[in-house]
Amino acid sequence: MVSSAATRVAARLEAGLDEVLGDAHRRGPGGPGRSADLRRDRLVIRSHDLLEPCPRRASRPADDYEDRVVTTRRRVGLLVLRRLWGEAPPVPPRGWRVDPGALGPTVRAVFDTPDVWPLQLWEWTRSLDQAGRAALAAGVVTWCDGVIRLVGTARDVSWCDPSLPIRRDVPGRAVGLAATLDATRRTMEGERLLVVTGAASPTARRVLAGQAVLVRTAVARRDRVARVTLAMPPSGQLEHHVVDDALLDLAVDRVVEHAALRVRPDDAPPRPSRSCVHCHLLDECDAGSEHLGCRPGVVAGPAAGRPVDDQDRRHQGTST
Amino acid sequence: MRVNDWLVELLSSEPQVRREELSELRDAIDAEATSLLDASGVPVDDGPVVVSKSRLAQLDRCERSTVASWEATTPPEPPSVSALAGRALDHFVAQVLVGGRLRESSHDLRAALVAHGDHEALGRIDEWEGGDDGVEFDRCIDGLAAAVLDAWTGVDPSWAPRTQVPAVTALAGGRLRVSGVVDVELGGPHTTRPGVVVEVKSGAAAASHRHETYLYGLLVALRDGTAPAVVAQWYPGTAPAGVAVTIGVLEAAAERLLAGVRQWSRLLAGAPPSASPGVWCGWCRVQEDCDVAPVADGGKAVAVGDGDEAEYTPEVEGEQPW
Repeated sequence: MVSSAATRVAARLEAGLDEVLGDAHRRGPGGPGRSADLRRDRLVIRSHDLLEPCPRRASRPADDYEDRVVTTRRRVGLLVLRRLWGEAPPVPPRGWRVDPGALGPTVRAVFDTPDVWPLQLWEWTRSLDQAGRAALAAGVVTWCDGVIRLVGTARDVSWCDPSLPIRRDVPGRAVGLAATLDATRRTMEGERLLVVTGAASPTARRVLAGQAVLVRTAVARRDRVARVTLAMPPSGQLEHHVVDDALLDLAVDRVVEHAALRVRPDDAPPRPSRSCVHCHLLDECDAGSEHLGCRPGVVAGPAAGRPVDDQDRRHQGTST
Repeated sequence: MRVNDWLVELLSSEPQVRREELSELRDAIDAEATSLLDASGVPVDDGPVVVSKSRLAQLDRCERSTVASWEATTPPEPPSVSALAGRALDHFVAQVLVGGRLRESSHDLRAALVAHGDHEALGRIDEWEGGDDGVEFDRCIDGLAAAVLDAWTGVDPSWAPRTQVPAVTALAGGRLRVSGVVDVELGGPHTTRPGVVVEVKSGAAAASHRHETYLYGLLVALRDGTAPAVVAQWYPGTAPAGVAVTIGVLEAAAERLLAGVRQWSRLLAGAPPSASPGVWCGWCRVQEDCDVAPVADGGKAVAVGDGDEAEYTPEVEGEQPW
């Protein structure tokens, strides 16, 4: 993507946010000045926020994050891949490849290297005992193996540092855009991005690709991204997205639509589906309760907010 | 028999399915799946039809129970001793393969459940503490842990062992997703060892387990574009029961899969489900409203299966290095 395209997309994003946010979440005159106020006022829009099909649920995202194997294995896996690639010879001999059999020992080595870890992740890992860390290590080995099996072992891959989230603030706004990004490669035609995902629908995958480019290029105004590849280890597939105006416009439009929902949650209509059974808002959502054939509050038990049935997982965006 | 000794015997195994055969089989499955979905009347707007290994097993048992659990809007019953034993076995195998050892089964299981955030299982174990169920459970997992240590210690790292590996394939233009989570994968096309798939089972051997293992062989073959050399079941205290993967094995798996797709899509389109009584009635959600269900046994008779399977992404054509 050439810089003029980045400028065009940045302008489209700015205009869109102006329209839906007005003076809300604005930095500078009239907006929060102190950093504490800015943190409190900041609206962070993550890739997976854009994939939520129900506007009401999207307007009030669940705040139920918990460190566990499935939510941490990707970040620990990136530490492992960075170490494996870091141990490669500077000029690898012909036919050089990462040995999948080295994954187990490398995971153990990473567990013994605290200075490469994001602090919170390291503290959680330290809170686990030996068997808990073995459970995490097993999840990490499987994640890494799936990635290596799919993307190969090209020496010039740069795996992302999980201590440095891919997040950028929109200029002039207390609005942060965060994307999932796992690796980059520099090529003659520009930078290539790799996103490892389990996103189910083609549209969801396109949104993920667009958000990665948007955050990497249009907001940061730094790199020229030529292509985004989504890697899906469970299905053994790679999907390439050429970076063009249509991809970036899709990403901008989704961000603007989502920002509108977040600042006016009471206006967000429900879109009932079978997913309602897991929704954290079900207690107060008549439409969802009606769809499920029960009174509000009846279903809100241990399952609320957690997917338990495969049919409902199709909307989940990213694989961690 | 130690698993590593069994693997040594497999070192010279070669994939017996040619890529062209696999490609033809895939095309045939895809065409048949498309035809089945077209004929079923399942609305396309409802999203993809999902058929997991667990759902196929449920359909084999009772259509009515399968539909009831799919339609359920309340959490399932808490896991039974045998169901949790199945989860424990998976955790123990993973721990030994990656961590190399087990210390104290009850402690190690809790630690693994904490790492996985499996609060449901932890709560259930707490409930059993000090009671008969707790004693039974501890005795059960002690035996499982000992068997895992005995069998799974010392697997050569060159087999690149990995556990709980998802395998998903999309068919009929994305309208059908078939999924499974393989308990253990060893070797494979990106290693120097033949591909081996092992399904770990905590209960008694059953004929249906063999079919489940064949299905995993098919899913891994479709995922990797190369069939594994061997698929096997492993039960604690026994040697792995392996079968060389031939095109016939994969065709048998495909046939069973398509029968399940036919059955499930018919039910999704509104056909009345049939009821088939069995030990599964003990944990069925509609047991009390069912004319054919026998007296409930409290859900302790046998393990239901290996739990819900993670669902992933439909595939996209045009594979090439990124």
